[in-house]
Amino acid sequence: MSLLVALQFLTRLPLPAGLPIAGPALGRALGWFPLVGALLGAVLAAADWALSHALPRGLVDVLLLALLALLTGGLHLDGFMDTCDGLFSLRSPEERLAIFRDSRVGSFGVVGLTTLLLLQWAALGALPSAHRAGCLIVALATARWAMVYAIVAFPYGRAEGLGRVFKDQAGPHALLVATALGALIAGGVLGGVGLVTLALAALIAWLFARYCLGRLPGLTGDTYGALNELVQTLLLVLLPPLLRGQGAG
Amino acid sequence: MTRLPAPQPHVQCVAQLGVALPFFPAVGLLLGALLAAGEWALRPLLAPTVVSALLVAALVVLTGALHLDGLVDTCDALCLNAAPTERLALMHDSRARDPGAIAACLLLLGKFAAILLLPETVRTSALLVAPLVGRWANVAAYWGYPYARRTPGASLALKQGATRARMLAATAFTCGGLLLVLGPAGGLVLLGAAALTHLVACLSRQRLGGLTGDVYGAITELVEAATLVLVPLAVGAYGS
Repeated sequence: MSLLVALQFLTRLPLPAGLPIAGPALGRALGWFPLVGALLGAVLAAADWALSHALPRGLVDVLLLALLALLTGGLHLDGFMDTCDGLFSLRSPEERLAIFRDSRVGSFGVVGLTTLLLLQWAALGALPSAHRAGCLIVALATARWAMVYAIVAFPYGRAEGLGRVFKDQAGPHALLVATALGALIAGGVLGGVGLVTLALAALIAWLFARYCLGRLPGLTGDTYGALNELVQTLLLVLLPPLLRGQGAG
Repeated sequence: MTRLPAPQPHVQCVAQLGVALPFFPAVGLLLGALLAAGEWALRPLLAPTVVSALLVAALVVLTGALHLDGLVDTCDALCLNAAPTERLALMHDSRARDPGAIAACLLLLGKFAAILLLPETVRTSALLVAPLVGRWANVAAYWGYPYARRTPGASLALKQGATRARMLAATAFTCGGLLLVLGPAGGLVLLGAAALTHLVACLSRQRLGGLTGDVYGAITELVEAATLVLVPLAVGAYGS
């Protein structure tokens, strides 16, 4: 039940019924976030496998990025763009929060998006072919774990909002479940390297949250999405050297 | 359809824009010839990545980003959680939203990768026919699907001028071009283009109640990009 809520919120997969995004089920849904990430990663890995028979790598990677944007409804990319627009504008924290609410894209958002997608594309192209599926699953699962960590561990910036409903239901229990699940997925798929990625994600999330809290009264749903994109991208960049290090050691 | 310097037609002709429809694919072929010539001239001088990026930029500049703008507005409108009339109104907003920005970014990246990874054997022919097939899809969408707006403008004039004879003329020209450049494999490319056009048109009818000028542009962009991939696929050139 709470897994369905997590799936409904984080993806555009066709689900049987429109579940209400409210109540304690949301807190429990947070615990499932890493599994939803792993599922998305598995879908991408399957598409990667199928498309690679017909198309060259660089094209497959563009299609994977497009597929991920479709599967998530661009939810986290939206957050990333709004966060860029808000954080990099030279305004007061309250005005920044207002910019988050503007559905149009500013110049910082466009610059951020272009840079992010180019980096993701390049990183996908550099993944070692033996571990492509594992890297996709672990990067997406760990990025969703990082959101749970940020939601539970740092203050929220608004009186209401999409992130608020999660924040209100989020307790240490949700983080504990998500961490156990995240460690199980990352460790199960990539072994020791997977656990290192979880630690790296925690570090990235902590640094990013500190940075945001210096510029905003608290975190918001948009910054959670931005964090997800940031962790996902950086892990895709860092996984090949980590895997090589493991192979050498 | 392009920003090429051409003698300005009289303004009162807007209503007769339809007479231009059969020549859309010819304009596409001209764009394709410019691309192929540019590629041929630049290849000995510059790295493949640079040439690919320049060709993507050339297409944007030559068309004045006309169709790309349509793609951005179309994605913004299709993704909006609102009634079809509100979606239609949003298309008139000249500023981009998140879905449009994401789509434009991915489309440009996709075109870059597609051109960069074109196999040697089909590079010239793919560049030549991609804009051609894109403009054919534009004509086909005008002819085959209902228009969502009532307000007069260039798109409505084109829609009213999209007769079966003009569609046939455009299709004949496109088939001729494809057959000449690609042989029988050109048929597969056209089939793929038609399928993609139908898909976008159906989505647009479902969510907007019909097509608009922006959607025609989006179809042109998507089919143009897809053709860059369909050509090597149709002749089996990716194999090696």
